[in-house]
Amino acid sequence: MFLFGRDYIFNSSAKQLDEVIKASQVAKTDEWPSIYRILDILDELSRLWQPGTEYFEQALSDLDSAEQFSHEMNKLSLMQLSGLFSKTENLKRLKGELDNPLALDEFVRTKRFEGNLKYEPLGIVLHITAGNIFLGAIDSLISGLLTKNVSLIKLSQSNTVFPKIFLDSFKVADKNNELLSKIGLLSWKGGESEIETFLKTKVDCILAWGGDEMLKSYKHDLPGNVKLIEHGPKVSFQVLTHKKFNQMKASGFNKLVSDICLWDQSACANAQALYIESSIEVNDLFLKLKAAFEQFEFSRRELSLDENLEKYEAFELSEFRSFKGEGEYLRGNDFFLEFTSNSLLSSSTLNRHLLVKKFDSVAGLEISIKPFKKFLQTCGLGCIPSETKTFSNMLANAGVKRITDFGSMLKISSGAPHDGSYNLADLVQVCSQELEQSPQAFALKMCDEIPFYSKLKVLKFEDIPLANSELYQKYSPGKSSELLNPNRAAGIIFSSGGTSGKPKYCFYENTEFDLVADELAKSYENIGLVSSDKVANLFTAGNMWSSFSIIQKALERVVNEQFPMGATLPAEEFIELQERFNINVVFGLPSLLCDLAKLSPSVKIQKVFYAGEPMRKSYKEILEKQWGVKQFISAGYASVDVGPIGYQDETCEGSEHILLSSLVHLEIINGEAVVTSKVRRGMPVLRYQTGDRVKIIEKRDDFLKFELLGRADSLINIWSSRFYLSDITSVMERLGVDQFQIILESTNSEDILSFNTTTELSEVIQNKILLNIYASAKDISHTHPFEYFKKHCKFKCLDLKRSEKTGKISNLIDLR
Amino acid sequence: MKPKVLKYKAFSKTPEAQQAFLKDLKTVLSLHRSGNEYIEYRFKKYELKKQSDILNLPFIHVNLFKFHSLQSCPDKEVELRLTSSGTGGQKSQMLLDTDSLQNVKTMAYNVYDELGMVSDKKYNYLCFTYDPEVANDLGTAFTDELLTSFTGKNEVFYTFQFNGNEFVFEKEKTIQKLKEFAQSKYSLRILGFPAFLYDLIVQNDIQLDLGADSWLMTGGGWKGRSLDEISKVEFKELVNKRLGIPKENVRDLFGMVEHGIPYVECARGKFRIPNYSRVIVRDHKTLEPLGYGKVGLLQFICAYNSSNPTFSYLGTDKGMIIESSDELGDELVLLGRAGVSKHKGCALKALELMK
Repeated sequence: MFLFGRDYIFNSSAKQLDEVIKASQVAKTDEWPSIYRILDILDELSRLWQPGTEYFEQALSDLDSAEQFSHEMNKLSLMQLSGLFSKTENLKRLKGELDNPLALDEFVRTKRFEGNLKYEPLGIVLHITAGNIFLGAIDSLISGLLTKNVSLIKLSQSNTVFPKIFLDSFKVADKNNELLSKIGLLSWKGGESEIETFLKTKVDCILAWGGDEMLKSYKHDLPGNVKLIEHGPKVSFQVLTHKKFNQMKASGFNKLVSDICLWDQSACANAQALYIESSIEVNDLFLKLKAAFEQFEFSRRELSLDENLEKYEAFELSEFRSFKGEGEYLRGNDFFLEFTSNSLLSSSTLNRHLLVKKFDSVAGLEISIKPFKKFLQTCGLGCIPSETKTFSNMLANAGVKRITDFGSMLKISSGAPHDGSYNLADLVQVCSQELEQSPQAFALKMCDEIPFYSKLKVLKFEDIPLANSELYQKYSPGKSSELLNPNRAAGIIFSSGGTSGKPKYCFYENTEFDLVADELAKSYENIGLVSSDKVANLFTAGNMWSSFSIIQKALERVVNEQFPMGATLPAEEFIELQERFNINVVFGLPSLLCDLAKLSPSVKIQKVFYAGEPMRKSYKEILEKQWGVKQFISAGYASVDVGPIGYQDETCEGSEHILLSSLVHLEIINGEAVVTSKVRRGMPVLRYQTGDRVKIIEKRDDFLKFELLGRADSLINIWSSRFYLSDITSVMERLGVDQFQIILESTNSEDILSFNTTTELSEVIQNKILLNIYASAKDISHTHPFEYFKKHCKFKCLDLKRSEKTGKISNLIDLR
Repeated sequence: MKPKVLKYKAFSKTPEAQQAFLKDLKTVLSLHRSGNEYIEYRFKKYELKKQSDILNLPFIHVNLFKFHSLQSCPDKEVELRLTSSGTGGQKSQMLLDTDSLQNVKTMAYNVYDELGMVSDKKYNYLCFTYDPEVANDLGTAFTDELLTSFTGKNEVFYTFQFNGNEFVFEKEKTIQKLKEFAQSKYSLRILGFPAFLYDLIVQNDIQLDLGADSWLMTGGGWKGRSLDEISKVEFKELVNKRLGIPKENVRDLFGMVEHGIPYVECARGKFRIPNYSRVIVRDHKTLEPLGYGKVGLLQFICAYNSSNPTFSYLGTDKGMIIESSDELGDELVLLGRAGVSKHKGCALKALELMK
């Protein structure tokens, strides 16, 4: 036996029991590794228990010597182990049951609640495990460890072989006793009331798997503060309709029979009864089952004296019923088929004893099983697809917890609730943090965790240095871990290099990415995207860019049908698909949408969601003209480094946006939007300079509406004077020039400002532009005469240059 | 029917006595085959000609009698219906016509007589059982009434009394009665479940001297309550020390309501098999008969009952037979109940579903 990191000989004396509890209480207060560390240690065990490894072979040989099950069955049991410990499987299970595993470490956002949650362990959990197969004990232990509960496992006295070798492997996987220091393995004779009475008053929870008597004994006089999670005895069965029977081949019967033969029916998911539609001939069925039983690859183990006597009793009763015309039977070497006219569900004597019963209708079947609601577990359902819904609904209503195909009754899908409830969720207590989310506190916490910031010893939010694109480039993941959380969960790396050409990447935990998608989805719904909309995602896919992926994920939450086309789909294909599927909404980059619209005038699109570039008037005109677009909606104001920052609703005009205040905190410093993420912890975003100039329009409580004024980095510094690109843009738009680029070049030591437009501008217009800009850009007019200004400006009519990296058309290109 | 075997001593080993049992068995088999369709169906291929054929006698699993009534005689011939005390689930039933009832009584008398337990003297009786006046269909009550008939009777006290709704154990009255009987000029015979007596002695710290001619005749199974903790030998020592009953006067009885044959401990504390029955130990896997000293399932055979076809059944006990070296019958060693495997898994078993 074993107690919290050391071998322990347990003789169940009062003194020892006291010692066990004291040690458990100490273990309870010890620090736990993070959930991802726990997963890694277990994953190491998964590796150690791969088929063919030293531990696997040794355990197989030991189990064979114990003669509880046949060699083949022992092998099959051991082959499950690796999966039980696997990080992938356990992560799936954690996500399925708890949504965000990180909530086991700290308060984090989950989908369960619009705030932060933390899962607290119950404390000391006493696991009373069923002795049929050791897998149950392992599974129970894993549940305890994943939920950070100190786990005292009562081992079945019939399983003395496996625990030792299992512990040996655990010691290899957990060299620092990180988990072993939280595990106690004890064994005593079931029903020893003194031990049980003592323990049940000292632990916080009893997780009990097994028979009714055992459960009753633990329930009796259970203190009110001790939680009992009952997994009492269960019965499973199969249902076979006539239509399915007619279609079933030998392989189908082999699967049906495997649900009975595996582990010789000792598991709760093994079928004990088979309900057949009354029109199926019993003899016909028996012959098919007989062939399948005889072909089953694993032989039944030797039965004990008690089991044999039970078998003889069943033989006698079936003989008598057959004599009275109330049943039929078929006995094989290691199986026993018994048809009885009593259709009420009953359980067999196990060990490959199948009770066959008939049903006339779905309602009739319900009457036969419903009285046993509390005991029902798995139903292996054999019916044709058109029957599935009716049977499944009835079975669920009757109390069945799992419905599977034949051959899958003993394969529990990871994430599927066992026994109709989520075990991990039962083993934790949930604490919701319904406090006002303080971005400052969150940011300071992140400063403690992130290497770059922790060195700065920041004490106040205001002292956190402003971050910007350059900082993110310098410490970009792939080159540095300075901005990454050492305890980050699994996630995605996106390219956020922008137009500058220098590579830069950012990291999102998967759950963060999901949260962002959730918020975006809500904003799309707010502005009128409805489930019946058919949406084409025309953002550029791949290249490690985020927009396509995040839009796809957000759309999953809103619309019934989306079409992930990407930006490179040929126009003729787009036309064909739009017509075939009646696509009415597109998401994409405005300039690329316009290019596509010019080539597809027959297409009709109602709504355009855009991002990445402003929706210029000229773009709007093209899209209105070509596609008949009625509504232009910003798909969100975002940056890859930060994530979504704002969204638009019907009250927003122009570049007005509403802050996604559940995700980000906004400061305005020198007119520039500086953003702190409230949710990003894998690669936190702390006081990040967006480079966008903003102005607050409206602010009340959590609601903040702001206007985007343009890029802060679009400050044009030329001829010793400074003015904003927006000074030029407003003039150009006023004069009807929508598509243009300002290019700053250096020629013969002189700086030249070129206006590159897509249409040839008349001299009159050119003059008007220059005069208006000169009038509004005071810094130039105070520094230079108009002639100087005019001399250093040029007009070109060329294709607008796109960024090779992002495909975006920038309004300002500095080539100096 | 009047069994021929009753002409011989209960533990007789003579060839004539053995032959008489064989003949009785043939008669019983024939009676039930003709009077009971299921017995005909199950035994039609079997031929009983010689002693060694008994080893091949088919059997009915005893639990069939718990679920189905299989009587071989008309209702009007049934003199007594007995049920087992039923520790859980279904109860077994035993039907006795006039002859069969008489046979049971005669056989019991003979067995007890040959084991030195019958006397003309008067005794007081303390019965750890139900008053047969009220519980007249319970096997244990019937047995106790029968056992009190082997001696003269002064006073009989039943510890379980009917309160109008149910039988309740009258603990205080029982202690009082024990003390009274200890003062009586008559010796005392205590009958019934050992567990109740054990608890009574230990929990109430009873210390009495009931005298060298007092007896304790237990039955109804050894297991139960705190008695699980001690052996039969220790129990006998305790009874001797606390009640003054000689250890050789503490005798246990193993009997089954379906069977009707008493297996009573001799003075050496061994259950003896009378010539009124055969007990065959069978291999649990092959069902082949096992020899002396081998542990297996027990088949019980008797040949006195024409009303109920329980003449050959497979019981739910495991045990073995030790060959006797004295004038009494072979020794039956019981090694506990069988047939309810201690299920270790999470799958539900039949018994639990019925609850």
